[in-house]
Amino acid sequence: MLFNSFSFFIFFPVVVFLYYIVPAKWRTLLLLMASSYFYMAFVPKYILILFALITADFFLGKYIEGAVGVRRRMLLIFSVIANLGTLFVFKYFNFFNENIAALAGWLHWNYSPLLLTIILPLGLSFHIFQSLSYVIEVYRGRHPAERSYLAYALYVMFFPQLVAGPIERPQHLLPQLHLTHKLDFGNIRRGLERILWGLMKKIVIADNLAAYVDQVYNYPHNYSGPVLLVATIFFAFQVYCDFSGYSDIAVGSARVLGVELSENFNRPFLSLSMAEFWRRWHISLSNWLRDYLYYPLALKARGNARFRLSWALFVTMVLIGLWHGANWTFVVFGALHGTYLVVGQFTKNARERLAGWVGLTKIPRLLRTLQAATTFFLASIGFLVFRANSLSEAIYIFTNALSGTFRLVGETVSAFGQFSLSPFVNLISSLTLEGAGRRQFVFFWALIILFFLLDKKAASENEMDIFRGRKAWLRWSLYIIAALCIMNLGVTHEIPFIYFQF
Amino acid sequence: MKNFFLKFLAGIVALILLQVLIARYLTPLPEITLINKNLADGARVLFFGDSAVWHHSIGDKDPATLPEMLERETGIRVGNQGHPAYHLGVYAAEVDYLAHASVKPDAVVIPIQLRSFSPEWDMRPVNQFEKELFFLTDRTRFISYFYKPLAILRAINVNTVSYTQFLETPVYSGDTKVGTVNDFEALNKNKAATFDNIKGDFVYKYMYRLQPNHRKLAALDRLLATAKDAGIKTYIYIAPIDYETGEKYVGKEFTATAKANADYICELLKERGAPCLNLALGLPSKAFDYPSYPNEHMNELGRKYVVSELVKFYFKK
Repeated sequence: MLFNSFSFFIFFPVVVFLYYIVPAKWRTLLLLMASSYFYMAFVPKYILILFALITADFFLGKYIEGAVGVRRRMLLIFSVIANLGTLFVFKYFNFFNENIAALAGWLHWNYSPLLLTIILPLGLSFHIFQSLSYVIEVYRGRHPAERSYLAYALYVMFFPQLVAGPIERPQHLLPQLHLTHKLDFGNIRRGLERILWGLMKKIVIADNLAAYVDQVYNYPHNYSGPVLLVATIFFAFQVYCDFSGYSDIAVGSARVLGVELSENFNRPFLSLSMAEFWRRWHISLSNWLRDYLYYPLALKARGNARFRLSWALFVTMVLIGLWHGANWTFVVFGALHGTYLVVGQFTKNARERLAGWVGLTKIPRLLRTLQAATTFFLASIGFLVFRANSLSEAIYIFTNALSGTFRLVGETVSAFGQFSLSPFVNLISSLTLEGAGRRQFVFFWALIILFFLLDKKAASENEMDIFRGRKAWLRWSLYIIAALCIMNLGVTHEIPFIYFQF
Repeated sequence: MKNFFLKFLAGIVALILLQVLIARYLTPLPEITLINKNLADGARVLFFGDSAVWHHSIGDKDPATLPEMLERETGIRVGNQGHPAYHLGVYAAEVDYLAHASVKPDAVVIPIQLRSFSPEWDMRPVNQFEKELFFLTDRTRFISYFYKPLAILRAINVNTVSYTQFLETPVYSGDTKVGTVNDFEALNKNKAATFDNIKGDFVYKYMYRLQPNHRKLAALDRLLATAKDAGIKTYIYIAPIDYETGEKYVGKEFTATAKANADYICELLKERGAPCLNLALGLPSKAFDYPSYPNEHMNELGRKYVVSELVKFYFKK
């Protein structure tokens, strides 16, 4: 069941209604049943895998808590193997085998790979990481093992964040699942506002941009450099609006039920460096890998401190890439970001000195704009690799989009120089796809600009959505405008959330 | 609590009202607007059909469309309801709409394109016209205002045939399977006008053998029943095809197959008590446009023939 589907619009109010009318002791069971139904709307049989992992981790958590020394460690390893093994079988087995076969072929060895014909369970990477978080925290003694099977199952399966996060920690979510949440209209209002804003991002912005992006990225050789460049910029906004839109709906839905989920995004396109970008983008995953991978790696690696940190950072980023999917494009995506961060660390002082030397530090607004633009440019290269169907296509798109940038800048400057509207019309026409009009292209840009301004405005007011803290009449007008946009400006074919595949 | 629910309810009511305004005045269905306009203009006959109905050639001295010619010949006000790629399913829905309208025409003219039964036309995703069918058959006249949001949230299926399904549809020449749509669509893209390509196109578009369970025939059945119940006469004709060119590329079996399919439709019409004007093989090649592309777009000569036959068969009785 997708958040942007009619079924969810029926399912959610029914669950909320039942949740607040049943006695408190039945609420966990009710939410668990609702979450199971929500999950089973995709591939019903996969719920068995989920429950097998839930059962294993629930009991392992208890045993880990009671064990000491090597036994405690062995139980943790067992849980990690069970979770990551499941992830490997469903997500990475075929990728691994195909690459072994390719290597064997290169060495002239006869190896026919065994390929599994299975569908990846929805959101597997998310709930496996959430389960691992639980057992690791219990192992580290930072959270007691959960006594209630139902509460633990709900911790893994809580439907708002079941298939695409945010990846929660037991300390944050489990205690909330034990509380009795009273009907609070403030929560309901704020939750519904977040849902509305999330739907707006997904349905109005991301899905519309997807039409352009998909056409170009599926047939990149048919398009000119400037079109590839525009598609790449569109994809950056598409993936952001798609995923942060999902997160908004997840946070909002949980809020209506009285549960507060972690924030997953904090306006990453306003970041001034790539390090800051990763503190603002998919925050729950970055924090997860920081706590459970980066810190242990940095502590255990040999060599001087700077090398250890860089090495740990690079490995963490490669694994972030691989977490997204079993494809070399994701590995390169991770490695590219790892390189950005490592190089960023090494050049931090030099960049600051350079900015001071050219006088940019005296014009902080310009400096910040340049930093944000550079960060967006670097992030877009990452998104290009992320979206490309293969590495060779990524290289093709990158080289052509780069030359397209110069062409586009040249054509724009020349259009300005002619003091006439027609060069601009011709320029827009050259960027318009076959079958789509100039009006649609301008509409896409209008969406991006409007979204960017709203996002920036909300950031300056330190609000997570645009509806908060305004006068009642303005807020209600915004609600209705947003709802009308969702009802009339979306696309009518199904575009699943991008992060559902992970 | 009461305050919250009252505000919420007021918001929902305002939203519904605004959506109705948007759907009614900013994004109405052109077909319904056209039907209503034709009826308001006093049209007594509505001429349905696809682009062949209003097409005219560059060299035509008389660029009048089929409905305009028919109006001239009969002196009866004829409304043009033509739209590219329309088919019997949409005509049936339009007749259904008329059956429930306050003002009804005396008759509707329904051209049957033989090509519309082929997988090329019948299964093409963009030719399914889900929106038009939804609007035309909405009895409440209210739910249609919410068509777009319902489609966005996939409460209604607006992609009844997926592109994959379309590409996998088998293509037959008579009773022999000669490939799938994918094979012929690939041929269609940027094709050169070679003998084999044109032959392939004719096979793809006309060489099927019409089966009794074809959904377009079921639509024809519905159309006839609805029109009869509503007291609207149906002037049905099987539209001419360029059989001479088809025969040139495919051979004698082209004409035989087209004739068999047209005869089959006529038999069906007779069984339902409806007359059948079979013009499928009535025109020579020179009455059509685009000689190297199988189509039913007629020039002036072809249109005049169709109108004269219609007048003779239906209007002079």
